Amino acid sequence: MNFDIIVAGGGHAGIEACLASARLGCRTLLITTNINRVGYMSCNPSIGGLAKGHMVRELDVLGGEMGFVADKTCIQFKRLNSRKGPAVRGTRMQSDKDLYCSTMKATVATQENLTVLEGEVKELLIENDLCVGVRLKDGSEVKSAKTIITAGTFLNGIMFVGDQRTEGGRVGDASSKGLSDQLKAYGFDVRRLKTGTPARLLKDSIDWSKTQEQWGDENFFPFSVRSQRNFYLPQIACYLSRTTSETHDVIRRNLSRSPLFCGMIEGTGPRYCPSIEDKITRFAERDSHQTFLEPEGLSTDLIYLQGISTSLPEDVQMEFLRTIPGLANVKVARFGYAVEYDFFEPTQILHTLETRGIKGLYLAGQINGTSGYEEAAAQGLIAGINAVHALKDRGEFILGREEAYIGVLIDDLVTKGTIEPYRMFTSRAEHRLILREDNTIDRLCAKSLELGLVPLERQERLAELKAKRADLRRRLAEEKIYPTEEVQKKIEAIPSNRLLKSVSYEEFLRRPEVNSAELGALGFEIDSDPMVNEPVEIEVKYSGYVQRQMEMLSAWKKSEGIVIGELDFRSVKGLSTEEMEKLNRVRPRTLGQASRISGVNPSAIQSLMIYLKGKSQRRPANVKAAPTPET
Amino acid sequence: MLHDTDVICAIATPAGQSAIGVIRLSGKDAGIPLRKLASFLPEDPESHRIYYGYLRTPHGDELDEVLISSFAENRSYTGEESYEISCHGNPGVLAEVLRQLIQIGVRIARPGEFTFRAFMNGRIDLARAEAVHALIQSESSAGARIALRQLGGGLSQMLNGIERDLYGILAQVEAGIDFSAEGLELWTPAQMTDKIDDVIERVDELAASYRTGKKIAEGVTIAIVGEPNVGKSSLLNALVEDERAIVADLPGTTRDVIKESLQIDGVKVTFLDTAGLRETADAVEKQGIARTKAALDSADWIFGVYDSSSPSSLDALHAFYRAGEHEKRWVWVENKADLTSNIDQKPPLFHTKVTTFRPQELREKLFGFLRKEVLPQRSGDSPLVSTSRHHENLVKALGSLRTARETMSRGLGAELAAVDLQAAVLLIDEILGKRVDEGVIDRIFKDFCLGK
Repeated sequence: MNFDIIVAGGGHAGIEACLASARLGCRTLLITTNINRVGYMSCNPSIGGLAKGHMVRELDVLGGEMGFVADKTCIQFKRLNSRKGPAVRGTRMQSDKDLYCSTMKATVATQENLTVLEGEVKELLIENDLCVGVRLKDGSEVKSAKTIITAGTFLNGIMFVGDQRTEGGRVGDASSKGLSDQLKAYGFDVRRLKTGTPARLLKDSIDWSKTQEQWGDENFFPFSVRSQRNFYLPQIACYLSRTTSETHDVIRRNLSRSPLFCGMIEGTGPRYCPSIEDKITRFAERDSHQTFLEPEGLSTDLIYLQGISTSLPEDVQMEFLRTIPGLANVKVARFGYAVEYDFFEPTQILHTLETRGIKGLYLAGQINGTSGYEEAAAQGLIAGINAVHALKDRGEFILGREEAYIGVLIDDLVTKGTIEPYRMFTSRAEHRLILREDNTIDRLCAKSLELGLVPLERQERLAELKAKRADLRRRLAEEKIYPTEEVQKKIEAIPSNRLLKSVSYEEFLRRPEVNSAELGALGFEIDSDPMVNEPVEIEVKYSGYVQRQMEMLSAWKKSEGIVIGELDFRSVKGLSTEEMEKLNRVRPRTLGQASRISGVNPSAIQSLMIYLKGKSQRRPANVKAAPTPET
Repeated sequence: MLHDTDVICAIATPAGQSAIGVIRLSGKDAGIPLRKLASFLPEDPESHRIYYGYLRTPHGDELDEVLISSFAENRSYTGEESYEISCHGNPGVLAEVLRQLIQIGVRIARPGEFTFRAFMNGRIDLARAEAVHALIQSESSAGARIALRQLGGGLSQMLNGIERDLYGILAQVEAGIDFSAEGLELWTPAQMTDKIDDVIERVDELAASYRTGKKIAEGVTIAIVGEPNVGKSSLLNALVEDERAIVADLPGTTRDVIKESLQIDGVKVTFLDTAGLRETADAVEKQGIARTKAALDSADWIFGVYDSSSPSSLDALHAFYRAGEHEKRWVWVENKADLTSNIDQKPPLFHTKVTTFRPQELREKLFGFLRKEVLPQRSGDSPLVSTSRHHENLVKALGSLRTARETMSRGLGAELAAVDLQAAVLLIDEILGKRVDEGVIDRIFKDFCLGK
């Protein structure tokens, strides 16, 4: 067998990687250990959230699949932070878990250029530091020009429940062995991380009257430009309950039986998603923690217990669960567990997600130290695109930190590395006010059209929306309101202060009490499509702060434009040994990236700058090319 | 240091009194801010020409009579539009001009920045730039040692405390944004603005300490005036234990202003021993009197010396004493009264009885007085800011904090307030010489129980 591109792993990263590759015209093979679990949600049954929702929209504009499938399988929709500013609003959808998985499976199965194979990759075929394919568990070989590994938590995965230790990547699936050992032998830095998941409960065993019903939003704002504006599926409620002091007593009494506390687990867990035993130990003063009981779908009995991930023994889990209001007689379908797995320290990969050590080999998703479906999908897409681009000699596809959260994600990983499962936060983006959900199209339309991953009619839709927004923006700036008595009366009715002189509509819209709907009454022709006028209004209202943020970042922007190129940092005067080592390890592309490496001081950046400038000065202008051996 | 092109300034001449003091200004369109102080400068000044006029604050207050040399882009040291302002060489004047420049948005140059720009614009070669860079690095490590020493005490404690509280505020803001669905117990908007107010107050206090801090760094000047022969020079000699000022019985001996400096508790105290106050027809002595008046204007304190046995010497002082200008910095020194008198002070005018017959006792009394009243008070819990760069950062941080508070109190959105809060943290961290990568995120994990 021979393919252009192999993707090993059918999770959220693998799906985006193989779809992008196939859709860009490469013959692609997806290898997955369990064909029925393509796109399976191993943990919480939802997509999006703050900063994550941003990435899903970015994926969608670029041609990813996650947003569209989340829209189609959404059973509860929420716009988080709807009362806060637009830059920090995030879309979160709870999905019907089975439907999400089967929709993804169908998408992958029917994709042209894409073959799906059930099997396990045991080994990479490497010739002269070049990856040329894979060897499967059954010994067969598949050749390819590029290989993308998206193995999730499966590499040497071990699951923990109390003192029980089972090999596996998640319940029901075996772990993958061999691959990370091979790369370790090749000199890769392989480390351990840990994550956990809560128990799944049976719906009918819960006394819902003891919980508090929580509904989502009524208005649907889909992730995808492809989706309709109405819910595809009936919406369901979630239920809020809380742990009690009895719950905490049970856990505290049994801490010694938690693998987290008796030293069985060495990997680092995520601080933003601690286990319940962690929460109780670290925040001993709190006598209660909230938990959401989330149905995993419309036609399943399973309830996900958000916020109570644990690896305590089953009998302890049962005992503490029953102290939570509503769960006195609860039946457990599956107990919570922790999983520890291998990941590759991500400063070993480039912005294209190709490894530095082995050409033609790409790593994406959780094996790069991230957590979350969205973080994984984003990397999958970027790896898929870059593998194709490398194959077709189209150059690198890299998003800047000022362009997309996906850009922030990948730059953080390859520049800073990570010591815990990396999750995206809005606070990681220095351009937070510019990286909004509402303006995703404006930010990424040009890149998407150039990339050509979305089909033609959607490209037209994107270009049309962008053009309409630009036109509205221009008219707001150009057209003026004149302070006639009639206009003044309308303004007072808003209510707002009378005009002192004629102003542009843009200036008028900047008043906090004025919104775009009111401009219509004043004679301005406003677009009726909220996809057009909402982002423009936000941009106008935000402009003062955006400008200040840009001023703060102006030095940043300049240094981002200074390309370092191939350079042995040992030849730069004025760097400390530690700085040299760090720079040689990360090999930053730009001066800006160099300045983000922890431990590289501002004085080192200045030394680098002088070196780079000097290098360009040293190069004489007219030098004849030295004769090459061939001539 | 990045290659910025914003307008920077610095005093180019060595610190201290001199005939002239030069302030350098460089950057893209540097003339625009400069004209806000130097209205006489034409909009399109000729390169390599000198312009004469008065610098005035934007409110119209006179700063100094100056000469401005103009250098066009590509014809200056840095390669940028540049100016050299020649002021009178008084540290106070130079500092004030600098302060006014900062107020209108000009930034103080970082060490070596003029040379760095010259290099980046191709005005000097690499070897020279590298030499300068090496020098800067060694200088800045020396500077860092000095700063460290300074920061070792209360100042760094206070700045670290401010930074910690800002991170605390930002953690609240950011957790409220990134973890809003988790039901965290966050501060109310009122608590938030209270906390910001508290930080504002402390930053303000630190920024305000700059004047005192500067005194410690630059020293205190005391002018000694009085009728000829009341013992001014003896007083000075007793203080500095030196015979530099000529002591003679002939009135009017001290015609020039004589400067003597000594260190008291680490602070440089400069005494200006002036010519006598007697109105005179003698041309030389007349000049001396003019100098005396100038010395009185520039000094931080004035010791008015009179002889208790000569009422006319007190009258002469009264003739010079201008209540509005002098009362807060004037000390009456009654000399030769009797050998057993004690120092006693009568506020609001300080009144000190001393005698030059017993120099040692005089010294002790005067030192006691200086320590108590004249020297900047420095106690462990009220740290001081003494460098203009630190002061500049604090003033900017104050502006950012006030904007953040305004944003917060108008309910405009936490993510907007965060912009200015982050700016404030960066400015404080710059003083501390820190660069914190994940400070806020770490703080969120420390302060909040997350993972719903």
